[in-house]
Amino acid sequence: MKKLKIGDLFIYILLAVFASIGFIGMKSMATVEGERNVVILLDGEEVERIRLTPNMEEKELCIDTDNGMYNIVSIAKDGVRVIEASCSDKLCIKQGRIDNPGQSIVCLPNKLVIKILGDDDSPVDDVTY
Amino acid sequence: MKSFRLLVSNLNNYKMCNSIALCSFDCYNIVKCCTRGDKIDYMKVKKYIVIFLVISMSLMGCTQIGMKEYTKNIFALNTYITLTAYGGRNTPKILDKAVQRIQEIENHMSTEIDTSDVALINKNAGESPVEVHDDTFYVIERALWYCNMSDGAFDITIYPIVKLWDITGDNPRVPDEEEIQRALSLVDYTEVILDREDKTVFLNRSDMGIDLGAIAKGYAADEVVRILEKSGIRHGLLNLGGNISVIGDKPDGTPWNIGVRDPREEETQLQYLAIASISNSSIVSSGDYERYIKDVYEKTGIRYHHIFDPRTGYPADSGLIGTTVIAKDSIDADALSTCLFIMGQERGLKFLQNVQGSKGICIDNTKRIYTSSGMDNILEITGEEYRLEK
Amino acid sequence: MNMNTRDMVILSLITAQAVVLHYVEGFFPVIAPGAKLGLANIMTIVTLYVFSAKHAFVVLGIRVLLGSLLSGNPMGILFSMVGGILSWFIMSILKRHPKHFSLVGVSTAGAAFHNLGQLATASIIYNTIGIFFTYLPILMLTSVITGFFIGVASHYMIDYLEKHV
Repeated sequence: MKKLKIGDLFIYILLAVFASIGFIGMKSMATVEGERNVVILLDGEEVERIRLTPNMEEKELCIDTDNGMYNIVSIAKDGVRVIEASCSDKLCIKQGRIDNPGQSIVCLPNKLVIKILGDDDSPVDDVTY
Repeated sequence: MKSFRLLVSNLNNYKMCNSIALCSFDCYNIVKCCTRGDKIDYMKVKKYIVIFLVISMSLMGCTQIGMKEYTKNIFALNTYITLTAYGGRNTPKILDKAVQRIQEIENHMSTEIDTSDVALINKNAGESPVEVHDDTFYVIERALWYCNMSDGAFDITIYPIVKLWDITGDNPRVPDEEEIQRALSLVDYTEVILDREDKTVFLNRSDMGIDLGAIAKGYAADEVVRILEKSGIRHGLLNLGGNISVIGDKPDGTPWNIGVRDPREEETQLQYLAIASISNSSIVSSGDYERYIKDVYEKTGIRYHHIFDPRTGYPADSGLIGTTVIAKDSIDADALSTCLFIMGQERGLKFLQNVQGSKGICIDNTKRIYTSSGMDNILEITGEEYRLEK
Repeated sequence: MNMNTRDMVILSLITAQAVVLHYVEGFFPVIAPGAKLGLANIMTIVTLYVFSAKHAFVVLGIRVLLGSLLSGNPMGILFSMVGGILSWFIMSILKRHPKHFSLVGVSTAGAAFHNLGQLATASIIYNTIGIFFTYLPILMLTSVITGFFIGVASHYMIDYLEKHV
């Protein structure tokens, strides 16, 4: 027992191989850092998913709901906002532009949610209001 | 295997302390076994084993991963609800169950659904008692307890006033004094008559009405927590239109950090003035910022918001712009944050101290923050313009 | 499995101690799914060397079953069983070649495969392959450390048993 034998070395090598498999697997599974995705949900269902890239052109999306209501969403490199809406309170427009992961715009009457997903570096998990 | 059986039966029969004593005895034996036969350097090995045990104990934090994050978004109870739970593969099914429960609660307690218990109670006001579901009865009972405790600062019979102003509806307006006085005469929680036997609710005068808006979301959150916990979920975050309930800690073992919204930050999203670290509890805020009549506000400088003072019939004007309450159950936090907002800083915080297990903060219109006891360790002020008053 | 009373008593005691060790280990918080000190593994190794692989398997099975039930963690049976059997399997193979594998080597391999088995079970049950990779390196490292100490401890115990009993 006092001495390590030749086979022990083999075991340690095997473990090292396992460990490196872990590292490789970790690398390949990690998501690209800093990636931001805009997700638009209508009544809880995802209807649109767009990646925010630093050099994207501004584009406008019209999201129609079943009952004839609509929100027009502007997506650009500096963030997302609602620029026009048929809802009564227009709170979605008032909520302004969002650009950080974890932020969201909600239009209650039209059951629309716009979220930004990505690596969240915010110190809070949620905000009470 | 006799001795073995004896040992097992011992372990099973004896209480915890006995088995621990047994454990230590065995550990001692093992160490003795391991070390006695050895003449050379057992002190050395023993030392290393002790060091090793100490190090591994301190190293082994409590990260428990192996769970996935599942989120469910729905619109219900007049608001946007996000349920997040950490668990195994069956978590989406559990969340679906929770969503069903929320919808059930909405169907029982919404004033806007004609067949709901609450709508029927309001419709039959002054005419006949209405038999309600158990959950509606429980919520009304709990609400009346708060009405009583707060001496009418919190009042579920405020519905005629709410309807009159219609701040959250399609045609908000500022009613004239006469209208308000007429509606105010219908506001009196003592005229809600409960029958525990038959589970009926009766409003004594016609045209009276109740609104569980200030408490139903809290109840729904508690029910979701109950369902998730029963199904084995140990980490979760629920956001019911700003009412937040957390289950356990975060999956990494640290408390959840919940921001308290800055009441005067209108444009930018999710601006918060303080961070509260909580686990296994609920945090709810009330304020004048959520819904209010904007054009009137701009004309007169007065903010006509959605939380009414049952004594005046006008939006509560206690000098506070926002309140936040932390309690074990969301139904309590929900009711208390409204109480606190209407009662004002001094009376409200005193009231809060009397309700066991609850703590809170309030922010007045000079941007000063007052806290109840028990907040010091869990609250961190981040808003630069805000000052914490002792 | 013919055995005389003496063997039976010793085996019973070993099993009992294994159960207790398993139970005691439950008090230690875990760093990752599967990462444990593996104290109870001392008993498996001792049985493996003093008696045989068959005996070790029985000791292991009873220990996992009772240990998990005692600590009130029925889910643990699955994890510990998969890990335990895997580690028993690899150890009983390596043990046949004492010229090539020392006790420390065997116990390290046992610890590593125990962890591997538990981790694999956890990632299958929780449906996340990510944790498998994330924890693999750290578990391999802990296996080397725990394997060494468990090996040393087993050595002294085997020595004692062979000399005195």
